Amino acid sequence: MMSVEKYYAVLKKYAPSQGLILNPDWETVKPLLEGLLKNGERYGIRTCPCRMAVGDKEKDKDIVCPCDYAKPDIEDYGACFCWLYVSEDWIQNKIPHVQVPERRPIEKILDF
Amino acid sequence: MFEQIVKQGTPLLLALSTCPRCIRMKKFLKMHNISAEIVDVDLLPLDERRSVYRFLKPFNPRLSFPTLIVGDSVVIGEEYDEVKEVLNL
Repeated sequence: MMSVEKYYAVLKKYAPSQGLILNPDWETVKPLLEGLLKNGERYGIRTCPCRMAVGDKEKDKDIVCPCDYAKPDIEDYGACFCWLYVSEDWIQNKIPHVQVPERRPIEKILDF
Repeated sequence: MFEQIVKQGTPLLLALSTCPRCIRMKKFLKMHNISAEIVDVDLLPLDERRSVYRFLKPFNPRLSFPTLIVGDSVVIGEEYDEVKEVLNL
């Protein structure tokens, strides 16, 4: 399995191309990357560590990281659901760091 | 499914094994010597996960993790002030 440091380096390059900014706080990011790598191992796709994938690539695709909900969450709260990707205002503490409510529709959560 | 545990007042933590918030919540409970029933729902077979969701829905309609249930009190997410309150810490 790839190390979290290696994975971080990959994401550091990848994020800007997607218009995303990685959370600079390693304490927050490290366990998230561990969770993502673990999900990659068991599901074959790196699904959000803070959501429950079901091992069906079609049903889980909306929560493959970066998830479909990251951009609207960053827009509204300055961070994605699990705080891996954040906004400039978040980094400069211009906005409070809040728990992001779950945006994923219930029907998708229960679809398995 | 967990009705008995909840009725006894034993804290029940529904979590995901990959979720850092859940991992920190488990540490918090351990640090405060709280003996809780801890369930990593993502490690259960699919049919058991369905019944966990059925059980969880009235407590947390958004079905997010972590969720801590103590009697009829519920703490959704990593909210330690609320946890201290419901556990009288």
